[in-house]
Amino acid sequence: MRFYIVLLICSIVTFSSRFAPFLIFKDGKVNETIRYLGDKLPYALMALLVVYSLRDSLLDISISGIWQLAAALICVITYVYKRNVLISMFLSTAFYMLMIRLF
Amino acid sequence: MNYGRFKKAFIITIPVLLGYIFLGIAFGILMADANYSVLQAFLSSICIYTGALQFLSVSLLSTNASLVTTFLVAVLLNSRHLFYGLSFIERFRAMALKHRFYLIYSLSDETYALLCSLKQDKDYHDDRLLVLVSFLDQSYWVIGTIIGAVFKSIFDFNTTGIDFAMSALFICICLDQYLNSDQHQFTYLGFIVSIICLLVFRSNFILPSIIIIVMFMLFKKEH
Repeated sequence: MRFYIVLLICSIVTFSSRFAPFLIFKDGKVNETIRYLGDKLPYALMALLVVYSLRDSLLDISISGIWQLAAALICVITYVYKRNVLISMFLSTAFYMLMIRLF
Repeated sequence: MNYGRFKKAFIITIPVLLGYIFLGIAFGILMADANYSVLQAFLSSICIYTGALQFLSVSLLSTNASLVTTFLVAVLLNSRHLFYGLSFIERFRAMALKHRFYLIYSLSDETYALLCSLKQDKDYHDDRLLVLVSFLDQSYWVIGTIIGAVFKSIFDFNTTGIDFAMSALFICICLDQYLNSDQHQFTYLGFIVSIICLLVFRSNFILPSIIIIVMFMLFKKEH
């Protein structure tokens, strides 16, 4: 049930954000503060989401936490080299899944 | 169905084809791994149709995050969509309602990039071509989702640790932003604030982080 509530929230928000420009900002002019936030926020937000996804390894010390950070490092290094999201995702995730099984 | 138009649309969307199918498969597997049905995975890809938010929603659900947190993160994550629409206001206005509706609804990151690249194309005026491009993109995503969810449901192979895919996705997006910008202070701000809030608030650190980040940015804007 909760799934459908979350689905509804996410759907409506996404829907609204896509339609907003065409409904609210009719003449193409956006409130300056909103434009500033919309422009700069994604940087800080993405950093927050990275921390969120790695929170377990940052809060407590554990074997899986160490592998998680190692896999994150692999993701960073492969992405800087190849600039390919799929390759980095695949390699780092495969590494993580393999390591937590072996150790 | 105009074969020439379909063929052109398909060729245009080839760069997105593999990416969306594989990412969709990853999402489908993730959903099935969290014990959601194929139908639920399908609905997610149809109703939300945003990679990052869909991946995040699985995590928010499993950690029972508050609806307020879910709503706020969704709003902030989607704020970039406001700018996508601005780029196409005039072009979409010139369309029939049903075409306009579908194009706006399906304006994902990848589709936005494709449509931008079409602006110089001689067929940019062709409404149906643009709709077809958007539709193909979304179908790749949905098909990938279904394949992943069905495969995992039927074969139930051991996917422990697959949720790391979400971390990898976010790391890549964050890194991409960082590498393509010469202003890194906002990325640093995000990391510093969220890590401090994580240590202080532990599992409920998202909301405080968002509030503090926004406050910092509003403050910075005025000074």
